[in-house]
Amino acid sequence: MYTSGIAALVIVLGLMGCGKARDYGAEKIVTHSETGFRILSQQQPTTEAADFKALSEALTKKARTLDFAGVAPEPDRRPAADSPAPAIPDPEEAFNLCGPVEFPGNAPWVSISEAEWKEVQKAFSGVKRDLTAWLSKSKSRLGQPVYDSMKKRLQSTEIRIASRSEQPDIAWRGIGVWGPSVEKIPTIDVGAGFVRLLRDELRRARFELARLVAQSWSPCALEKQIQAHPWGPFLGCMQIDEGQKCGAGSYSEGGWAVSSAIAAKVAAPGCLLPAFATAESRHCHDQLLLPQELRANLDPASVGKVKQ
Amino acid sequence: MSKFFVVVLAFPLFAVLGCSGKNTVTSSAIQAVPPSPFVEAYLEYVGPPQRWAGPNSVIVHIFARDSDTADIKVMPSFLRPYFARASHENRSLASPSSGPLLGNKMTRVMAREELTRLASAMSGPEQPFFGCLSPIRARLVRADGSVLERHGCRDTAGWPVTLSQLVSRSIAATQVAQAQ
Repeated sequence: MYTSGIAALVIVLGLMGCGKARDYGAEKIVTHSETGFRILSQQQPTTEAADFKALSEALTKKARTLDFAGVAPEPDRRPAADSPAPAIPDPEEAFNLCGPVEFPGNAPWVSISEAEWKEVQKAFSGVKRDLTAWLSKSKSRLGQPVYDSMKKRLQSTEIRIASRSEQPDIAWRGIGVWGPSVEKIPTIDVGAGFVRLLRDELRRARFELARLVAQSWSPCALEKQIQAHPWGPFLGCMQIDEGQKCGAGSYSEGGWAVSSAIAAKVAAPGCLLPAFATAESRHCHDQLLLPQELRANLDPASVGKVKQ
Repeated sequence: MSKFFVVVLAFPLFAVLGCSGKNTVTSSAIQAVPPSPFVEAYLEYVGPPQRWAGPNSVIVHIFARDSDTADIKVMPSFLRPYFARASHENRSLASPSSGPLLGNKMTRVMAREELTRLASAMSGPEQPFFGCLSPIRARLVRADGSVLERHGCRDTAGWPVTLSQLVSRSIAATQVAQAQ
């Protein structure tokens, strides 16, 4: 009995030791993998291709939760639908909700006629003119430093067909993407499908262009430049917390909110943005830009900086 | 009884030898053998919350584990009937510098090379971004199951460019697969 007990103990100890050695080996593999990355658990279950849809939906959902945490209401966190065809609601029906609209871009390698590109530039200039007019009208509410900064950013914004060497994926798409170019100039890269959007859905295309240009005025873009922005009350009203969203490596919904709200005023898309579907949110939209004095009461931090 | 003791004494000895041997092999293998190849990738352009009716999220899945040709899926699909016709028309207008992978299926070997290139780019320095409006993410899986993941922002420099190039080539490859 006594010897059997010892035998059992020795076997158990042997098994435990073996397990530890294996753990150590696994740990070494992780340690010796690429450095500088977030290495996840060593042996992840592999994913069958058939499971892709479910997994990608889960990933997208996770990404939305990560990137725009606590910002969008629950229905907004659904993964993007694979919409079969672009559909623009009837402009006469005021309460038709907008959805994503995109025509595919037909790369290799993007053939846009001179006449088509002229149309894009014409629409771009028109939208900039309308935004300039809105900006001038809002000057007293913005204050001189913010107005100057916004005007400068608006005037310097350029548009181009997405560069094949820098962002070739856009050439397959029908969207535009705002961002600083290599020369740090605010630039809108459009995909080839955008030309068709402009031809077939002018109203929506103008809205999208206005939104892209207005992304130069996003809270983080202005904050980086002049350490202040006038959008605090609007974002607060829309329950978008941008408190820590402008730090290095941050993601921001505020830029989409502000640019969409301005674009909807300057170049109405002919449908209602889901974000403004409720009476409360429409009120927020109506009060997009409050007079400085009112903003000072509602958002003393940001307006205080502007006054300085 | 004596046989029993032999077994009892031998077991821990074998266990120690076996387990430490395994560990030694693992350690030396790590140092001598090149890392396991990347065989799978999820590449994603994250769209804004739907309430802003902005661009859809796009996800590309590349699977280059077993078959000779990489299995590539793009969501949402960019290969609608309109697109297939238009791309055929445009093909004749394409510039001669369309690139070696355009117009070809992506083989497993090519796909793995592309994933290695992306992984290498991902190890580069972080491009600073603030309040990003167009998030991106890449998740690469090695044959041994380890995962490499990075989040970032669309950009005209650094690993976002390599990501864009791979996504573009992947879409091109699915286009060819669909046409066939």
